[in-house]
Amino acid sequence: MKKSNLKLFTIIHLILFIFLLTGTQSFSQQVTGLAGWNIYIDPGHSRNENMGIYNYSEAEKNLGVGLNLRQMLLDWTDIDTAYICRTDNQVNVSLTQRTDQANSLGAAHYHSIHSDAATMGGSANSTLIMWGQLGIGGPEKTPHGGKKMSNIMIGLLTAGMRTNTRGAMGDRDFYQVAGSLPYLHVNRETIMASELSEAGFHTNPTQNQLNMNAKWKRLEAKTMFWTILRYHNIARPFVGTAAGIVKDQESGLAVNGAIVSLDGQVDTTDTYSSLFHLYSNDPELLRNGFYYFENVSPGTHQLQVSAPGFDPYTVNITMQDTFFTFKDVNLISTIPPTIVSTTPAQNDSLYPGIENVVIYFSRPMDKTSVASNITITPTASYTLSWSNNDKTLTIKTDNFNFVTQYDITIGGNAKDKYGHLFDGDGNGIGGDPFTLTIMTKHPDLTAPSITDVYPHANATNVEYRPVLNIAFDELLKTSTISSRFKVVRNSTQTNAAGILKHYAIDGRSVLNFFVSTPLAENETYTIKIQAGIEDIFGNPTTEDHNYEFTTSNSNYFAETIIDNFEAGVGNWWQPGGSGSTTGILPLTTNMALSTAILNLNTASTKSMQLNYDWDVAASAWLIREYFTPSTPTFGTNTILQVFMFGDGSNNKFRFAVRETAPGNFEVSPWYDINWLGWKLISWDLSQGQTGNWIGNNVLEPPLKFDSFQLTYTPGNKSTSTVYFDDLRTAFFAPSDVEIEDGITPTEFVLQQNYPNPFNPVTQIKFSVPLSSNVKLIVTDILGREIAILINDELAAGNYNVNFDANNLSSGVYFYTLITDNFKQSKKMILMK
Amino acid sequence: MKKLFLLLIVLSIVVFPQYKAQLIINGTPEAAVINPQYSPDGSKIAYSKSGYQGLWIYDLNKNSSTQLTDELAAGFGYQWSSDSKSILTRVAKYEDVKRYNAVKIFDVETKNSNQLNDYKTMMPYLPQWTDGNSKVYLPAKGVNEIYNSGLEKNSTSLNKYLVFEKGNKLNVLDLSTNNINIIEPIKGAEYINISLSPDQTKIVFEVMGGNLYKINVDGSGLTDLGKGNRPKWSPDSKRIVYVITEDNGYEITSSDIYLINADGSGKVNLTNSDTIIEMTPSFSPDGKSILFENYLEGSIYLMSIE
Repeated sequence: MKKSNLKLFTIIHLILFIFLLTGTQSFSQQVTGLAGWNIYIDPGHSRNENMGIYNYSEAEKNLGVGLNLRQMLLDWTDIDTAYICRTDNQVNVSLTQRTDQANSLGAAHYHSIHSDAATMGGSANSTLIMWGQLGIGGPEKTPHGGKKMSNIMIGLLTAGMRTNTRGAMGDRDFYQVAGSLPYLHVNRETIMASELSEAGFHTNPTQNQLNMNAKWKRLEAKTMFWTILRYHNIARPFVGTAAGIVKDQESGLAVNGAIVSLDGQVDTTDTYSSLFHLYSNDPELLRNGFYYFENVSPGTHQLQVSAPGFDPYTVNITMQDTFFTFKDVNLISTIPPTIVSTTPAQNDSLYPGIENVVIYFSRPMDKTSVASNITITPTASYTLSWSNNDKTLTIKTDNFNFVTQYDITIGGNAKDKYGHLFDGDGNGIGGDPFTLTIMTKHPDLTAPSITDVYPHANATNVEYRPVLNIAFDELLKTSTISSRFKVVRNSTQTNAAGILKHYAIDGRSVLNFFVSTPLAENETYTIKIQAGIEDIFGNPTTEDHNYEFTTSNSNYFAETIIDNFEAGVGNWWQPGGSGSTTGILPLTTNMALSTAILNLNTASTKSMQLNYDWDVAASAWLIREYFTPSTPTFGTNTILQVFMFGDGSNNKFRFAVRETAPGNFEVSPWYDINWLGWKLISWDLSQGQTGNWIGNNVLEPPLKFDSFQLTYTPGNKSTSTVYFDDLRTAFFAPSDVEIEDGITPTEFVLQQNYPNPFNPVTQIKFSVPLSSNVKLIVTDILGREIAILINDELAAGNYNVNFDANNLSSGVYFYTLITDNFKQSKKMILMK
Repeated sequence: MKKLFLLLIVLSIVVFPQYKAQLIINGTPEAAVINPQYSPDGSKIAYSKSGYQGLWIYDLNKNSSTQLTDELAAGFGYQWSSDSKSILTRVAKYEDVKRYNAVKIFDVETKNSNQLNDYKTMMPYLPQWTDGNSKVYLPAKGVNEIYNSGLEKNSTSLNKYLVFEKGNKLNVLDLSTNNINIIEPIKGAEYINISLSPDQTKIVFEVMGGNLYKINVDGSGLTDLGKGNRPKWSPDSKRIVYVITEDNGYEITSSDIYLINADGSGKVNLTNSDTIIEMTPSFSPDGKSILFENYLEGSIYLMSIE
């Protein structure tokens, strides 16, 4: 070849090379560098094992991720091969089959795909990757590689899931179980580099609704694909992947059936008919709003989103070449704003100056346009205030007259924050007014009176740490209460220590007194309510009221904490999520976490709030507030308890438990919710009393908590809120904390339990050098509170307490002594 | 406790709640011994350690162990030669993240090894003795490979067939004709832990994600043996020993050793234990005992079945 020809040849090849580098740099190009390497992909579990929330299992999710990962590796790279242990949800592949096959094939790497479950606190959601570790704090198993892969994957997976992480770590460090071989079977038995990934929690409602989406699984797989490339120091090809979640801006709920288009591609978010009908009978329950595009070309593109009932949305997004290009979209509803409810209701009445008119709108309102469209007849001066993100309007009635009818009209030109005209008649078309007609009442000149007291007057055998409850027939003026309320020990005339709370419920007041220091055993106390407590109109009580009760030497002790809600309410379905729930208005019946109404008897900081709105036109009514975890289980030698904040509605409440055989349930008798404020509700299972639902009216252990259930009695209040806290099994007994000797210790000491390991009872000794509030709790290896052994004020001394783990499974547990000045934990091993 | 432990070592008979077994090789959870197999003459037991790394020989006459190799993967899928003098296996090594595999034969006495091929990144099959141990057969994705073992032909132990899985089918190689009879016992299934009976008439195998099966080498007589893992034939080819394991997706939660006749009759649970996880059973050459590993304890035991 001539020199000039050689030069031309070289230039042509150079141009071709540059063209190949740039012109064809789409995501689907062949990635080289994996030749001579292969991987065994293990989608963890089989069939629909490890069922997550909303009837979608971890096993199904893992399979989808595994198949996507294998397809990416085979289609896009020069990898020798990618094995997979199962390709469908029919086979049942054991752990030994997985590792035996991988070992037999001589795979270079083993990756096990999982997601996690929280038995308590289902709102938990985080990633975790575990490599095989030779003992707690030990090195990686041989051959190495799993640790390196884990350290790369944890960042990519966590960023892809857009959640928190517990990190990448050795499996022994995570499980904290002694031993020098890797803890996980897939790490222990494989003869290749290995690790196991946990991509979020399938018990988390948001995560598991996303897990159902086919492309979400592809997103998870892609983080693993990129991990493998980086593991081999192979540059990532142009990413070109956009993803996001479409939500309703106001409700925050993901939008089903949103049509998303980008760079010539279209994706539609999942709908009930396309997907969710597989997992629920409720068309409104499930949603993820997830969209996902691959092979998007570089540069800036217009992302267009439309959905029925929402304004169209358009935004420019610039594709990132470092990671997924995430763009979440908030859509604005086209439904005009309307009235949800009012206080007082239409044609109802109020006390002017004491009670205000409150109007609840369906959407955030434009305050100016509402203010300019309000008319009140007869004319009265008023002031407005807004709350709840401008969805709640309060009209002060200080200048309203007594015994007068007022018409309050909001005109049709009022608008919501987004410019939609007000829909006063609620027919879905904006531009029409709404008029609320109310009456003002006669002045109240009657003093408040007491309607209920717990413990009842002259009650005996009262637990020594009760929640006292005094209900009134009307609202009290808070400032007049605390100086006129006390609980006095008769023999010493000393006051009991506790926290007094005043709750206003539906125009009535209730006082709860949470005893902070246990009452003396077998002693008589008097609840003293002095004259002078005023209602909100200033009418004072004129007589003292005294209620005596006598304590026993026993108290209720938590045996197993089923849920104290401290970790959230993610383990609970929304009421409408259960097919058993009927006769409710679904939009206004819901469950939520509360940090406002708390059972201070257990120093709670969170509770569960259940807002119910019965459909009075229905013929049957039931709310099944379902608890998803399959543990703990318990027998019939216990008391099932919950602290319940009642609304005095006289609607009914009961417990439901599930028996071992599928579909076997039993329920407690109904309890009339005839109380206001906090009350401890107990179902003594040993008495064998049951109600009628599904089952044979015989409690057949082991039992698992299934649900709280509520029903409506026509004529009662149909809309209200109740709260639950500290669901547990318990026993009523004398304190099992024994003072060992008369010697006063000089320091706090928590001794090792004996025997250890134990089955099922062990003894824990500790010392308290001065009178202290003492809490002794048992937690499992994941830090979940299993039992409260002591939660009491103890005098200085040496103590021992027995811990009975009859209802627990073998494993490592921790017990922790907590006082104001001291905290220490020790490990114990239950071996059954 | 210490005294009791010493006593157990001396007597070597451990009474588990449901059966008696003799402690043969005393491992620990920290240094587990696994995957034991008797030599054909019954004088030695080969075994591996955690992660199937390395191979050891326990001499039953000397009551002592010697290490043949510490190579990766050496302890998985190894085979004794019929004269009990050599062990055939596939070893592995890693260079950076890539795995390389080679076939090796270890001389049990001298510990010398004979590497039969170059290290390769892809070796998805385990080697098998053939032609009276004078050759080694290695199935491959493409053309199957045959190597001279360097050992003299043992004419008293000529096998008639070799069996391996390829493309989701059982391949039965008739060594007298060199023809491969392809059997598809269950359409679309994958097969693992395939074992040819000593009398060369039957094959036992696991279906991936399914049960344990027996089939005749000519493809007839498919018998569903129910759930089971890691099957091994009795020396007289009449019975199969295996385990039924349970797991929770993360760890093995239980396992018991079962014995069953080749026709699927006479199934018996030999261990029936709640707290012991027995794994990887195989027969002693006289067919009177079962060798197995205690998964949690990391030791190797022998249980009489007479």
